[in-house]
Amino acid sequence: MNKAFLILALTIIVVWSCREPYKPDIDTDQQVLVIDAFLTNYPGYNFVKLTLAVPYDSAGAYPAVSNATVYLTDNTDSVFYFEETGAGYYEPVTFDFEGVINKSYILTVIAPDGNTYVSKPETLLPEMQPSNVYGGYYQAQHLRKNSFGQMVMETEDVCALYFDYEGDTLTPRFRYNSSQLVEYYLIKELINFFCCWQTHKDNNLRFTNEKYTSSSFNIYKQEVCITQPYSRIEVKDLCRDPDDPGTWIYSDQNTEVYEYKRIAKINQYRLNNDSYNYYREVDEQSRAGGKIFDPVISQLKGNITCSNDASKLIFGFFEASTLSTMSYIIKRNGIGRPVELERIENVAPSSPEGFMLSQTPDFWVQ
Amino acid sequence: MNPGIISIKSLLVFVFLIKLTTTFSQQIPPNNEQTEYQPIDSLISFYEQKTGLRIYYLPAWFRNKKMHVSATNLSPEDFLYKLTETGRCSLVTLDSATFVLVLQHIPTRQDGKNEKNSAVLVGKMQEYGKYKKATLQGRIVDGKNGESLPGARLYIDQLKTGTSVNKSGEFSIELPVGDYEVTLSYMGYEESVRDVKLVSPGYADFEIFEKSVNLSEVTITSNRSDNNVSGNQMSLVKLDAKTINELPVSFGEVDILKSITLLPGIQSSGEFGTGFFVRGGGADQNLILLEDIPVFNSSHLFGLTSIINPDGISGITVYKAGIPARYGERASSVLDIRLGTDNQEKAAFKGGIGLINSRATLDLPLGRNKAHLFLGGRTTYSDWLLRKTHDVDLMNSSAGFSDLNGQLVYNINGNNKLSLFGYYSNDRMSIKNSTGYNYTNLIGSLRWNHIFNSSLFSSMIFGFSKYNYVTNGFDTLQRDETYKIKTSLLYKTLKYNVTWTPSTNHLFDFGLTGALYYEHPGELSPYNSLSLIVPVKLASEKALEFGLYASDNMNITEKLGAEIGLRYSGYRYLGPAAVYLYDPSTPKSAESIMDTVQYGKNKTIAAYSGFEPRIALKYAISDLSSIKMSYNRINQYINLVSNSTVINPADVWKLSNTHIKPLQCDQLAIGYFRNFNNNMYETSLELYYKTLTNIIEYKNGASLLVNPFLDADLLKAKGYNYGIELFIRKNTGLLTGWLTYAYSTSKRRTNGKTDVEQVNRNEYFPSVYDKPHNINLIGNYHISKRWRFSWTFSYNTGRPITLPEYRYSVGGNELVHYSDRNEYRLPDYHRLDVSITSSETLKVKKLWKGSWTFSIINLYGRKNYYSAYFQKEYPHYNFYALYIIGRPLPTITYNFSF
Repeated sequence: MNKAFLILALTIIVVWSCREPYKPDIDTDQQVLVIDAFLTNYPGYNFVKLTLAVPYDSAGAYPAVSNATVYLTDNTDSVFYFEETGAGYYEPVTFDFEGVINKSYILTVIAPDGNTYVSKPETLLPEMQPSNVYGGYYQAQHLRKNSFGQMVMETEDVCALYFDYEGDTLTPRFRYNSSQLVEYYLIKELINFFCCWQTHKDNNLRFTNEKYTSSSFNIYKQEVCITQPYSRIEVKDLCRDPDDPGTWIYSDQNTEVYEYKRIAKINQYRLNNDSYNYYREVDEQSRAGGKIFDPVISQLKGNITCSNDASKLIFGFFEASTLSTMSYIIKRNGIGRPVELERIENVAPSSPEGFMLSQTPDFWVQ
Repeated sequence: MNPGIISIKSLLVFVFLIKLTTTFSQQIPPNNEQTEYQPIDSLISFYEQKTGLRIYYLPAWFRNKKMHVSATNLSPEDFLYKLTETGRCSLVTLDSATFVLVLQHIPTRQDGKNEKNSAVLVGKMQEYGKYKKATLQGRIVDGKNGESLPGARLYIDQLKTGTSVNKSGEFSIELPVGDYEVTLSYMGYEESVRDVKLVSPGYADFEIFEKSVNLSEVTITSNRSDNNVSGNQMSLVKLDAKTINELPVSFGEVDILKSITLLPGIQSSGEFGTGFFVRGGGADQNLILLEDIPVFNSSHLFGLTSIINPDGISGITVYKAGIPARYGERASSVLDIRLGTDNQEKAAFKGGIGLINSRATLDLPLGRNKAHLFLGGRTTYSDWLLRKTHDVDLMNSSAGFSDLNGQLVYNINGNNKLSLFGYYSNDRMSIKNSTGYNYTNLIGSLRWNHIFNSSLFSSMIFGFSKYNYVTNGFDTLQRDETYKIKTSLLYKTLKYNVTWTPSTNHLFDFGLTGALYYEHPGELSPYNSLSLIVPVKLASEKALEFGLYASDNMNITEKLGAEIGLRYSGYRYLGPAAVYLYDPSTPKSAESIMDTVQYGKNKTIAAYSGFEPRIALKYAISDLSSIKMSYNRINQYINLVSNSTVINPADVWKLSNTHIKPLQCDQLAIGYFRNFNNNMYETSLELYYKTLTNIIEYKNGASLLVNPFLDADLLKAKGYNYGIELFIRKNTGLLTGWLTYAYSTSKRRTNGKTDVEQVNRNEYFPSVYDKPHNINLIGNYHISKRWRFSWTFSYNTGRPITLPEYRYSVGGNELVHYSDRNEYRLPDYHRLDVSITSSETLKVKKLWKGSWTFSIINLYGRKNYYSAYFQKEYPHYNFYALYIIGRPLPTITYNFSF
């Protein structure tokens, strides 16, 4: 829709309008703590990250905040402490700690400056599986600057996975991230047979979009991940190590190979109301830059406050989301033809990418 | 004698000396018995050709008057003397060969009766003796421009009776047949007495003229109406066609909506925006009436120009406070636009050719003044601008608009007149392979004016206004997601107004209005069969609004006047509809719906009503000064749901319903009005305080388009606006114009219980209309009779804006912390525009009249920011500000009429 409005600006701007750098005098003197906290029903997915915000025009990194006291309290008053495992990164003291469905949790952070920050209680909702999973093709567009300096629109074929949800009386809301494990075989020097793999992560913000679903309580055609529509991909070639000819290493050259299997692992996080509203605001903010036709820009409202000084700024969010992981083998049969999906157990490669000579790894999907 | 008027004798001597050698030997035009007496107009033309003199005058003064052709053989001084005698004019010389005939100074009222013209015969002589009583009907018009003068008085002293001209510019009075001296009067105009011989029912039009004319060789002044001081209304601006024509131009033509933002208390939505805000009210709080019918989108191309063809406007009236009881529906102001012309005697064609669009209007009398047709239209050819770009997509895009308006007026008889009005506009825009949009306004009305008797008039109007908006996402590459979104609003209205003038001290208006709203808030559908879009159609909405009103515009004493009115407005939100019931303990959202109640067709779902007092008082301190105050309350039952400060065609009109209460506005204003130098200078100082309840604000991330839970995304707020406005205007002379200064404040406040329902923690915050200081200086300097230099200077405080302060990261997302809403301001705005206009000819009888206007917009190249945004330039953000014209922009336009 914004693009439609762009033409007004362009109609005027093309001839007369311009932009120029603008340096407003903005007050950014405060040190503001940022709490990035995440709780799921799976061990290993729970953490609290503490940093400081920086002025909007600062080029600096976000300073980590160490030596804080961090713990969760559930609705039975059980307390679960977190310990700092990296600079500003806190994980549960109990390694296998996981949230419990239908329980609510409160996060408490006592910062090194003595201020105490407390979240609203957040509940882990029951798991919910999609009623239908399928794939399809479309052509995505993106802008690119050509050699004449002009912005041109380019198109790219895309294969997408979609989820449908039906039968719930409440609007189901989710966010997703995914990873794709690509298996392929590489034959070198006629006799050497390699099992190679690569993992591609998709951390784009994807969450249930009400654009096409708001007329009913069901969600249709929710895009959860995308991939290329072709099975032939370019990967790093393998070569013998010049210093140790018996060892194979990655080459600087690329080579084109045919995929053997492509396994998409979808992490589906069921969002409670607070989390959904927060992500919706995040999405809204990402599309609002204060231009003339943009939505009214506004502050993100987190769920954490400073308990000893209510006026103190605090940024961030404590998310409690129920995680479901699903893995599918994606079988593409060419653009325009059906995409076949086969659900499998989750697989876990030992490393994001690698190869094995003349044998298949443990996680290998045949 | 007025020193500005040169004595006729000295002038004649001057003329004689200068023109002694001119071609007196020329022959008089051929004549015979039938042409011995010819219209003075044609004789002047002949004499000008013969002698090379130029004589300027108003044809109205010589209408139906003839002179013997032998006058053309007279010497210039004798010829001019004869003209002054015949036309009851004075003569002024501008240069050695150029003369201006001006109406003689008419004795003032202190002198007793004014001079009289020859008797006007009303009726048919063959019906003499047939009637004992007869109805005299007609119009009282401004003798200079032929415009009707509603409120002008006609009085017959012998009978101690009289009547007033109604809003349509007509009067009617039943009298015994006989000879009368009819006194014509109107505020700011010379009282005039005419002999009327009434023999049977008939018509007569009377011309009256502004109070006096002061002339000198270098200065022409005419006194203006003192209505700003003597009228009961305050916060009122009236502009006639002549004034409108002298308003500053943009893109080669006067834009009425942009021009009124140069008046105190009216602010523009931005550079080149046609939206306007009156005393802190939103754009949707302005009732823009086109021939009594509301307009729902008043801009072309997102505000590049307004939808009103300036050549078609005969007059506008803007009410900012003390809004009369006959107006309702919108909370902050009324802009009443009248199209067509009062000149119903001559055919005329006018137009203009500009860089972006051209326009034309046609005035056509039909059937011996029985009917009159007015047609106007504009079209654009702005696509060429896009083709000049270097962007492939834009080169293959298009944008344009067209509009057409027409009015047919038919005088059925002396007591009945029908007026049919129509308006159509279309805007289109399309971006290659992406998105297209189209919106149309269709407006129509039928008005019936009826005269019951000399003091009772009525008008009945049936009309409609339809606004359609369509967006097509026809991306040919992403075929399965192509879509079409349609919204529309249909408004139907019936209005009946009666004007009653029982005496010269009272003018009653009473009547009723009814309006039906049919809203289609949104329909999303697949653009074609390849699209996989799931259709969504929001339920249509319907509502009825009605009003009953009465008001009396009265002169209580010689010094005290008032317009007291009361309006009762009622509103019914009607079925069929499904109404969501939200859990009151949590913020409204789709999840907090507890139940849904179904209502049948035309069942009342929500009902609101209320009295709306309208009071305007005036106390005349002297003939030149007065104090006025006003109070009004207005309920508004329809709101524009918009998240931008400009008029946006995708904005959604939203009817009040169970969850959205009607907006209520109360305004108190007081002012001091003082004129100087015989009304040459007008000044005023006004203060106002306005409160608004049930204003719409928006939750963060509110989705406005095709949202079935829109109610849940809206917040209820209240607000107040106050300000002081100073206005100084010079009406006459070579230099005319005005200076305004306004100080104003506009604040809003939500009262939500939870964070989600609050803006700025429920504290008062500046609305986007809060621009405290506003200065306008507008001038017209008549360098000569052909050349006019104009300028417009505007200054206002920068508008409030929300800006980012910090950046941070959560969940891998780079986020920004914004300031409180509207905490910062854009830099102040100021701009100077100048133009010079050259008229090709001033001759009244010259058929083709053209003028060139050369303007420079933004003379000193100020970069006025209309928006600021930031952009990520890894790893930090940079701010950029957008401005439309950052350098002087010259334009040239040719306007014509014939």
